[in-house]
Amino acid sequence: MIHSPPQYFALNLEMVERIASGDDLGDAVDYLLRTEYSRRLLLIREIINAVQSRPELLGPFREPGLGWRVLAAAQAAAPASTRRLIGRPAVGLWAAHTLRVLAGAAQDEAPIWCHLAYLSRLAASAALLGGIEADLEVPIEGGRIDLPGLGVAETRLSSENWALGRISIAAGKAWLRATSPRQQLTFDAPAQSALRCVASGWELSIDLETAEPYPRLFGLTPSGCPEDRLPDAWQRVLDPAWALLVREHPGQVAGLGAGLRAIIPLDANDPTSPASGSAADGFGAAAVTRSVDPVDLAVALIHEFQHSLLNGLLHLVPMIEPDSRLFYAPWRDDPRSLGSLLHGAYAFSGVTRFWCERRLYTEGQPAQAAEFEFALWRARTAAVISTLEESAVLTTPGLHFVGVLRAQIDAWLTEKISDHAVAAAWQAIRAHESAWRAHHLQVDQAWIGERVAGWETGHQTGFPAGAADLRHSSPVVTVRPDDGVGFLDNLTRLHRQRLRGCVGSEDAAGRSPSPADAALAAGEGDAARDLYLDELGHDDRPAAWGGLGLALELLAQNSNDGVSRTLVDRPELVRALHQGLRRSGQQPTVIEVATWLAANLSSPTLSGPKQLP
Amino acid sequence: MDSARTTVHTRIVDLTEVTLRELVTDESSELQEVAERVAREVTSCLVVSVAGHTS
Repeated sequence: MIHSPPQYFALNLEMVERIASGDDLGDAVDYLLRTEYSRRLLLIREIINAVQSRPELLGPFREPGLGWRVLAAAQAAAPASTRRLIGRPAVGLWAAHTLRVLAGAAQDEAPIWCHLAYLSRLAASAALLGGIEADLEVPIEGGRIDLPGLGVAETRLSSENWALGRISIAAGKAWLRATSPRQQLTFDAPAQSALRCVASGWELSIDLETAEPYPRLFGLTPSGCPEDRLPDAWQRVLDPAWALLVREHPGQVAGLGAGLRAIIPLDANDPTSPASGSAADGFGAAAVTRSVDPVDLAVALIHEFQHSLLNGLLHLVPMIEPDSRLFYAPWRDDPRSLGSLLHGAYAFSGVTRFWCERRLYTEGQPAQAAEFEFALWRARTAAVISTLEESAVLTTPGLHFVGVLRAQIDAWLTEKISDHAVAAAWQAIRAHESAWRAHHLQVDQAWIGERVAGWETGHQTGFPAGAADLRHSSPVVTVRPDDGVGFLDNLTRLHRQRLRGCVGSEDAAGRSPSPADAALAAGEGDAARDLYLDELGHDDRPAAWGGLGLALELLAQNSNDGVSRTLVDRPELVRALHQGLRRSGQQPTVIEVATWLAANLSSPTLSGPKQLP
Repeated sequence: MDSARTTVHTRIVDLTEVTLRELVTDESSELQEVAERVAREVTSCLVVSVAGHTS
């Protein structure tokens, strides 16, 4: 029964800290599954309210109430199976998308009544799974009926885009009544789409979600590859991935086993960078590319499940006060909000832990690759945790959550890693930060004008306080997103490629790192310097400014000289001043501008030498 | 602050023991307000993590 007043879930801060730690989350996941189920019921209730108040949206679909009554009857007869059905990630994605369409916040090619009639599909599944009788109208798309959790049945009807068909359900079987004679429907799941792994007594039982339409409405591109729809193909890589997780991450498998519910295959067109994704409304779903490497799949599952856990928490309590600022996020090419930083910090804490353990279980080239990933992600995650701590907008639960992330990362930062791995990771980290600054930080025009005048008169001009802050806006620089920018993390891509022995470094769009970037990653300082200077002589690729600085740094054997540091740490200032001087009729070289700026950077405002993490 | 003894209020009503029939027939204004708020939150943001190691 519903209590009056309604009873809200209580959340203990110890639970928040435990979820932040990522360890032994079996009961925490059970708690989040209950809160997510309740939230989903609230969303479904809102959809039913919309149907009742706006019947004109139903189009040819006339039975929304019947669908709901069947669902309720199925719950009474088989509460466990109905609850599992409603808890499916795809049902959450449907509910959220339908509410967005109703609010005018989303659109797609399907008529709205099709989304609303999903209730009947849900009811039909519940009736079949619960063993009750029902007679329902369900949507038919292209001659196919798709029922949640049961898969797709081909009908003898024409492949008309959107239609309704009446089905009868009894004794666990369904017949389509629109054909003559009536057609028994055979759904291709769940037997074909269930993935099950067992290792050392730990079980992972999840669905391969290939039929549901809703994941594709969230910016993810489901795989079009026929093999990616075959459970056997996934089982071959999931078995060793799960065994690896059980062996190397025993603290995580209880949570994963309890909460991971579905894999959605994604297109895999970038062999050097497997992709994965998740959505806030699909708790327990991980959209991933089917890698041939179980290590890639294992780390993707860890990463995406961390997002699910945090989404579950954020549905309960805010972690951050409203804040509109944008920041540098090391794993993205575009400026991100603090909320996104929190998600990334948590997801990549999981990734950092993964590589921390992985390097201990392997040797040779794979160990070097694992060390590189560990060095890369612990430094990047630590930087973002600092940004969150300095933001001053964390709520009480947010402070507890980030406090645990801080304690974890501090411990990982004391782990010994080879100098080679640290150097490669550090070069990749600085190259990306530098490229991001050159793209997204706009320099104040008055400041440029003063420096142009100073250049012309030979006067020194200092920096106002704040100009040196790498992560935040200041009086001198403002975050101004450069829309559409991408492919900035080339050094990471190149180092990863070398360590993994991959061939080809093109991304999904066919882009390759520049020859200058390739020379830098290969440690060829002279060639990299010349290639960057050549690039900057006829092109203004923003990332080339910092690349040049890193090449000079390599040639100076990392002696931390001011010119290279200025190019790497303040590429936006060098670039803006260079452009300003050229507009005023001057023809300075890039090196001259960087040298002049380095001499004019007053030491209190320039951040100290960067320490290797 | 003792985390183990500190409990914070959440924004979600516990409906785990509620039947679907009760869910739609309930007319309490507070439950309705919660449902409307959750729906508003859903429609105002779309949190998707799309990664090539990105978040």
